Amino acid sequence: MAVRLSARVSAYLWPVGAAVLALSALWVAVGLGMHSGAVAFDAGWIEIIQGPSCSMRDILLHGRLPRAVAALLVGAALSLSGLLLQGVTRNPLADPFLLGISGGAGLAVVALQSLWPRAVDLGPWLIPAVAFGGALLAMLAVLHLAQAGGGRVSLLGLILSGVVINAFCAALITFLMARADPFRLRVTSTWLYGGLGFVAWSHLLGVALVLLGCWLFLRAQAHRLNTFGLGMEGAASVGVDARMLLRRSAYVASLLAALAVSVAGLLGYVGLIVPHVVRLAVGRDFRVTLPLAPFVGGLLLLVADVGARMAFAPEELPVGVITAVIGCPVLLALLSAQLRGRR
Amino acid sequence: MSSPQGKTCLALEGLCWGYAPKLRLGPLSLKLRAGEHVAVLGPNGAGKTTLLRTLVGDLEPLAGKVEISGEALETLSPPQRARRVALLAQNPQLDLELTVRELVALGRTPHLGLWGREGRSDLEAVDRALTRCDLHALALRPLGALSGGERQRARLAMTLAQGAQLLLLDEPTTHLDLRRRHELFSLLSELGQQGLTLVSVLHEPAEAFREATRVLLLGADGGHEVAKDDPERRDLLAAAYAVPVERITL
Repeated sequence: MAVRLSARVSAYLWPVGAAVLALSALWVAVGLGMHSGAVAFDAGWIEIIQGPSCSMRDILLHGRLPRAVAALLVGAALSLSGLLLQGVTRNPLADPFLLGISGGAGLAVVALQSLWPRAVDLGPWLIPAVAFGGALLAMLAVLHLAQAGGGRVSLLGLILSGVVINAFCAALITFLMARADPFRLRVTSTWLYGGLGFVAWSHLLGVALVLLGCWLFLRAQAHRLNTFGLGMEGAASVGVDARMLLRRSAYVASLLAALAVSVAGLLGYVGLIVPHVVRLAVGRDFRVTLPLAPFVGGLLLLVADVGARMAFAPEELPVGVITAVIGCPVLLALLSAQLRGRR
Repeated sequence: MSSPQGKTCLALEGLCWGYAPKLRLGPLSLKLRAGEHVAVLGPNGAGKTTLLRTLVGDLEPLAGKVEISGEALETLSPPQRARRVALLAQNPQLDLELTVRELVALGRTPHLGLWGREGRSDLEAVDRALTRCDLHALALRPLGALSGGERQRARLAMTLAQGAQLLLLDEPTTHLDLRRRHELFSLLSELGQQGLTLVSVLHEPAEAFREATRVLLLGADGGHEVAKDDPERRDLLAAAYAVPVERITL
C-alpha cells in the first residue's frame, strides 16, 4: 500500500500549526493590551473594545501593533534563515547570529549610521539593502574561512569561522559606537540589541514583501533542499544542481538575516532554537518545516518581546537579552549532544 | 522507466575521462543495448568510479561523447539526466537521521513538480523499490540504526525508485553477506530482463564473469572488453591487476 512520505508529519502539521496560530493571536492580544509593562485590561483592551481615544488609537496603530507585527516578521525571518542554514550545511548549530551573518549586517548598518547619518533620508529600503550587503560579505567570509584548508565545510570550521567573524564585527561596532555622539549612541544601542519599537509601517511592508518572496522561493525548492541529506554528490545524482542551490541558499539566508537586523538589530538564538523545535514536532522534510517555522519563530519573538517589556516594568529590556537567556542553555544542550554523538 | 530490449541505451565514442591535467584515462568506445549488464573490473586507481561519475554527468568528459538513448549527455538538464541515469555511489555522506522511506523517496526528486508534491506514481515507485529490496520492515527506521548491509540495500532502493533506464552501481556488493549478494544479483538479472541497462563496478572477477552479460577491464591502456569465453581472460586479468595468474579464480 502506498504511504505518503510525510504521513507522520501530516498528522501533526495541522494541529501544531493551529496551536501556534492560536497562541500567536493570544500573545498579540496580550502585547496590544499591555500598559506600562503590565497586562492592564482596564487601560488597554477595555478602552480598545469601547472605542479608543485618539491618543490610544495612535499608540495602538503606531506603537503596539507595528511592534507585534515586527516581532512576527523578525521571528519568521530569523527562523527561516536558521532552518535553511542548518539544512544546507547539515550543521545543527548553524544560525545567522552564531555564524556572524547578523553581525555583518549590524556592522554595515552601524557603519552607515555613523559615517553618513543622513543616508536614512534616502528611503526605507536603504537600511535593509546595506544590512544585506554586510550579511552577504560576512557569510562569504565565514564560508571562505571554513574551507581554508580545502575540502568540505566542517562543523568545527564553520563555528570557529563564525566566532571569528562575529568577534571582528562586534569589535568594529564597539569602535564605531564609542565614537558616536551620546544621543545617537543610545538610539543605536537600543536598536542593536533587539529593539522592536522603532519601526515604521512602510519599513514593515517592505520587509513582509521580501520575506514572502524568500518564502515562496524556498517553498519551491523544498524538495531539492531535502536532497542535501544525501550530501552534495548525492543531491547531484538525483538531478539537483547542488552547488547552485547552495549558493542561492546562502544569498537567501543572508537576505533573511539582513531583514531581521534592519528591523530589530542583533537578535541571537531565534534562528538556532526554532528549527530544532519545528523538526522535533513535525520531522525534517522542508516541505513541512518551511510553512511552520516562520509562525513558530514569530510566536517565540512575540513571547520574548512581552517578557522584555514585563520583566523590569516600566523599564524595558532589549528583547535580545530574553532570546539569549532562552537560547544559551539550548545551545549548550545542543553542543553537548553533538560532542556525545562524536564519541 | 524501462527501454525496449535491444535498443542502444548507452553509447560511448572515444570517451576520455579523469581529472585534467593530472589524470587522463581512455579512450573508450562502447555500445550497450537495453537489458545488458556490464561489469567493470580493474585495479585500484584505474578510474572505475571516475568513469561512473562521468557517465552520470557529475564530471565533464575530457574528450569524446556520451549518449544515452541517442541523446548527448551534455544536452540534458540535471533533472532530465537523473530521470535517465541513476548512480549508486560508493561512499555517500548520508544524513543518518533520515528514515529508509525518506531516503528512498528522495530518489523521486527528479520527477517532482514545482511544489515537490508526490503523486500516486511516486508513492508506488517508492513502495515497489522497498519491496524489491525487502525493506518494508525497516521503512521507518533511521539509517543510523541500520547495519552496513541494510543501509546498502536502502541506497539501492533509492536508486531503483529514481526510475532510470540506466543504473550505474559502484561496488553494489559492499557490506552484503552471501545471501544478500545472491539476492542482489537475482534482482539485477530481473531488472536486466525488464530492459534496464546496468553498469556495475565489481571487485570479484568470478562474480563479474558469472553475473554480467559483458565484462569491461580498465587498466593502463584505458579500457577494453574481455569476452566471457576468452581463453586468455585469466592472463589478461592477472596482467591488469599485476598479480600471479594463479591468484585469479573464475
